[in-house]
Amino acid sequence: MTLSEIEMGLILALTAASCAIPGTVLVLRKQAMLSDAIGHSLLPGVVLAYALTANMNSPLLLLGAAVSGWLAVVIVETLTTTKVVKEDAAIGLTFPALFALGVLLVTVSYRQEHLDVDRVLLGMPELARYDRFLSETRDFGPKGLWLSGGLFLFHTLIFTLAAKEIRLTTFDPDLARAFGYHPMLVRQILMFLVSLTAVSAFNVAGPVLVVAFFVVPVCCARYWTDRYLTTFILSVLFALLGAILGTFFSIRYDLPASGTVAMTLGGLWFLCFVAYGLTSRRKSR
Amino acid sequence: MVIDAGLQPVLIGTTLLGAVTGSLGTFAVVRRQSLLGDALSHAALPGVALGFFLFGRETPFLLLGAGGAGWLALWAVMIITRRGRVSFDATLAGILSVTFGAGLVGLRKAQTQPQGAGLELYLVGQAGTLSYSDVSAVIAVGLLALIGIGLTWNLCFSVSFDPTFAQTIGYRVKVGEAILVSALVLAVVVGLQAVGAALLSALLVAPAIAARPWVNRLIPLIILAGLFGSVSCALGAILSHYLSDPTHRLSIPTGPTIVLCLSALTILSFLIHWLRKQIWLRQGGGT
Repeated sequence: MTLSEIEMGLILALTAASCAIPGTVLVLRKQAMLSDAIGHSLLPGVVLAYALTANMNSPLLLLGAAVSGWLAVVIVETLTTTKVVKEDAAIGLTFPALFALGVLLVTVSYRQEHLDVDRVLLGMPELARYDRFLSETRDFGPKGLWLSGGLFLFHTLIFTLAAKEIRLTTFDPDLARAFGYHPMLVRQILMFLVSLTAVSAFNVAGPVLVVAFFVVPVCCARYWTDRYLTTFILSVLFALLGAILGTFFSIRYDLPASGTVAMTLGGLWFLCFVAYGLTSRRKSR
Repeated sequence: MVIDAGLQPVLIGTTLLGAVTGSLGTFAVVRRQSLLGDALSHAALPGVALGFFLFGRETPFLLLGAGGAGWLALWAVMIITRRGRVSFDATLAGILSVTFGAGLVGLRKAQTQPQGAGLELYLVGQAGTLSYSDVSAVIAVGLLALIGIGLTWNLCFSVSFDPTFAQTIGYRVKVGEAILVSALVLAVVVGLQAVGAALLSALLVAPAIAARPWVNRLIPLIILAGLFGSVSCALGAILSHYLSDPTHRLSIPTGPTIVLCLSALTILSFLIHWLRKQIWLRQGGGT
């Protein structure tokens, strides 16, 4: 393994881990499909913010795109709560519209630069390491590494500090309201965090594969524990394992890294599912 | 209006396609399974790649692979949710993203083959390149699905709205569900060509939603959804064709244009309905 491959693996692993933390809450709240909606809806935000900042890693772009992902959730919620349509249809209506807008913006505004729709759709972890964090004299490594690592620490901090609020509003919003918490506020903040995470993963995973990073590690973890905290820890571990194994496979067999990581996570899920089936059958006998 | 010769098959193809996906998607919306169509369209991608590797570049083989993969994904979703622990939405999201990843890997591999160029268009669709053979594929698949539903209409109807009732009067609910889901798979297979995996769910969901304020019965809803679907698909095809400007290397992709037309139509439909209701209330209606 060369240094560049190790760097790519680290970026993928940290990105997957930073997605797994908010992903756990999403899955436990039965809102996993919102991550799909957010992922797609980021695209117009990314394109517009890129037009303004001309820098894929500027904090302004991150925030701008995160707002556009969060807006998608707001639209879905508005459509659902005003009873215009049911939630599944609201999601199915909103994100393709925003995504189509994004694709059109890409093709119209970057037609001279050969910015592939392909690339926008898939993410390119192979290229992420070339965008490096340089000072006058030193090379501090790829920016993606700092971004995903920072986000991972940030999430760990937030989800530890606000553990009580998040947990209560997830499992019993009515009780949370009675205690004087604000389930709606917590929900909106969570959605913004999911959106922010998805933006930071955009370079690496693109709008669809980021869903795998959010959801699949948690699916794996669900078979092994019923405890809240353990689910988080297991999800992060599965995310790391999937990303590292996936990077290894992609290098070994010369496959696109982001897709291979998603497939590897799917394989882990399958193994967990089978193992759970075997163990639970033995218990019930 | 004079229509370019190159636009003709595209226009006919997208119009029919919109009718097929719009009418078949109605069942998904009614059964609150809109997102199933989304998952299916992503799951179809590895099938396209597999069809290419096993049989070759011809469209029917690719679509066969897509349909098969869609079916398999549905089966996986069913097995996983039945086992418990992971809820339906998480299963759907997980299967969707994993199959999409597999599809990307497969399509990327296919592009390294001499014949595999252009397969990546299944990601975002290639409505602008529809040919007459594609048109006949759309007609064949669409007719198959619609005739299948038509022959078992009572079953499909009761399963869509009240499975418990259908069970009580002795219908085989499982069979009805299988027929409806297969119809959805067929709709996905057809739509995949035009708008690609990422945007397909709009083609299934939006027409029925747009038609919903105007009708209260299922058959008119299906017909109106089909109509809305075909109108916006045709409009999208025309717009993208005439807005594209080869001299400035500007090519407007057809799929996203179609989806934006559909969204505009949906918003318009709701707006007109809302305005009519306001006027009706203003005139003292309902008192």
